Amino acid sequence: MFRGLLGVVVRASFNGSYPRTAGLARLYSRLHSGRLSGEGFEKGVRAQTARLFKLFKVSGVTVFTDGMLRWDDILNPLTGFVEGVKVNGLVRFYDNNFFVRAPVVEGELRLRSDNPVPEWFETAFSLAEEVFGGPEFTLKQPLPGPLTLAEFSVNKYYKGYWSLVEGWREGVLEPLIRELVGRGLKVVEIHEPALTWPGTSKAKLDGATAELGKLIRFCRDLGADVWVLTYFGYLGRVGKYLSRINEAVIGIDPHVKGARKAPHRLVKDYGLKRVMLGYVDARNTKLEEGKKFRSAVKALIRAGAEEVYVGNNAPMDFLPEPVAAKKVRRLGRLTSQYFGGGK
Amino acid sequence: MAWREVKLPALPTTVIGSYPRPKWLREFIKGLKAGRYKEKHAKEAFDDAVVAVVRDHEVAGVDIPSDGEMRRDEMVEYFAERIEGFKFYGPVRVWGNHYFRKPAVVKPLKYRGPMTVDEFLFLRSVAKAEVVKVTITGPYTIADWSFNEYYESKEELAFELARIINREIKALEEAGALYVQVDEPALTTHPDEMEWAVQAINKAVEGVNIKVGLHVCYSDYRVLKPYYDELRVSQFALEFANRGFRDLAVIKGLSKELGFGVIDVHNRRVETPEEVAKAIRKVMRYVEPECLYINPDCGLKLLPRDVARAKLKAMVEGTKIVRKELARRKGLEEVVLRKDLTCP
Ligand SMILES: [Zn+2]
Repeated sequence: MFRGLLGVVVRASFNGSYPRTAGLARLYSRLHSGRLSGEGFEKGVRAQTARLFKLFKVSGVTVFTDGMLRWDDILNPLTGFVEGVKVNGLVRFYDNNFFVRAPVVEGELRLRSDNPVPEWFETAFSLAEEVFGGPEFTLKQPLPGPLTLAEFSVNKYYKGYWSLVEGWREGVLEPLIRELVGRGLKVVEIHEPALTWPGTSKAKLDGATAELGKLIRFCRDLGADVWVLTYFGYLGRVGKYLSRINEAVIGIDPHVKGARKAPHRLVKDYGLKRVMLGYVDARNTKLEEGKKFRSAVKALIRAGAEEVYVGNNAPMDFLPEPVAAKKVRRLGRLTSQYFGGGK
Repeated sequence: MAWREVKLPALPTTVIGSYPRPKWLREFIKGLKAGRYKEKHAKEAFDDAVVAVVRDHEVAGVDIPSDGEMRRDEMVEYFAERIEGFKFYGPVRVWGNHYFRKPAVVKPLKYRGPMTVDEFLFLRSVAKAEVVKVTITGPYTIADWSFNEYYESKEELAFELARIINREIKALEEAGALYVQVDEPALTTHPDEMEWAVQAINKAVEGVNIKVGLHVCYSDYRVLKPYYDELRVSQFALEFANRGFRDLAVIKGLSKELGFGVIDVHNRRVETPEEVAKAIRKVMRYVEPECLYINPDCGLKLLPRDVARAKLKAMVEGTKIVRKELARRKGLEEVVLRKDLTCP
């Protein structure tokens, strides 16, 4: 393994979702119109997942997700497999021209036993083993965080906001993570854009980071590592509470407008050790510049980061697939070229 | 042709723009893309479709028709394909398994020449109405729904687009258009960008001497409200049926014409004329009747055509109920097409 600047290893990571290829889009539309059976769809999704893993392999990206090819968005279909939830109409996903189905909470939140996420993980894991020909990869499972789930929920059941957040954590996320860890999951990737989104009231950050802290401890007690990815908003907003969650790898989106401090300043000022820098912009087709990439990562290490990942700042659904593929290849190449941690 | 104050019935009825493409046209477009038809047949097909749409509008009794945007696949795509500097990398998902071809700006943008003038000229040649509506996607929405690889900022990109759209609107004016509607569905989605977004729209309509409306839909109108006076357009066409005519108070203090959305375009249930009339009576608590146009919430293109047709008919019938009341109570039977920035 390459020991880079100050002995810090820099690794390329693919986070969250990968855009549907034209082929996958066709599979979905044939499934929805009844022209393709469930088995046919399953076979197709496996082939698409293997194709994606091959892209990671040739690019030198060894830390990744399954691309969430079976998900419509960060909440669905998971929330459809929760008792107490009715899946509602479309709402805007932050400031994107992208829409998600929001859950209406009408009863006590409980993960249903027929939820397919653990099986999907197992399937993806064995596909990754086939593609990589061994255990030289880390397959993360992306999941929405309790705050993000609560912020998107229409609450018609819980008395207070914090019982709703706790309902998502205790009733849904923890049992799901327990099951996933039982099937071999080592890294949970929690998506918490709500944490840094300016629309989330500041008064909620105290409680939210406390809840996240509990979830992180839960995972670590089970022996799983945790990442907390934030995007579309400025991480400095959560500043004084970061010590509650910094056992996790913290995702920083450097493409945020109006950020007061650069990522390396955040690392320094809040003593972050484990960081995922979202240098690859999932919201712009422009390809990343190599030299700036190198200096941004170096600055993080000099500021005190000890475990550094570089990847996409946000889910990649916002890009056309051919551009996403280019960006993944470039991510691997730049990481290996400058830090030896990619290919 | 110069500007003229054409007479219209009180509460003029109009559409927002798009209309369902006839089934045969959709089949034709598939065939065209697959190479089964020649490009030279396309103009004829699209022209025929416009004739059919205008006829639907006229039969329903709509005073100010559009061409249903028959020639446009999508509201940003159409313009990005015709302005130099855009590139298409592939479709981007909007929700579920629905996609749109999001363009990328890869070099300086350049106006290649009129994009909508031929549309307008054909529409005018087949419509009986003296006034027709031409829609143009606004600079902010095109900027917001594109990838920006070239300009320093989204703001710079939006102003470049504003200059181009300004030339387009002036070309329409030159060709004799009386009424242009700028569509800005994205306008309120980033409240922190409103200041310059409003200036970009004003830039797009600078020096224009015909009627300009602004359509904003499925938005938080509280974000728009502080800019009512600043926006240099004569009408706001807004969506209200979808929100059950709640929050009407947000238009209090609007000193422009209102294009009032009375038809829900995301619901196949056809409104009754009485429901339409009731909504119009309700909005007249906030807007003077001489400053009121009646239209659907948004483009009708996602509805089945027979539903769209029935909805337009209900809209016109409902309007007629209120027109009778206005004639009786206030003697108001006619208004004129106005381009003024304020109303009354
Ligand atoms: Zn609209």
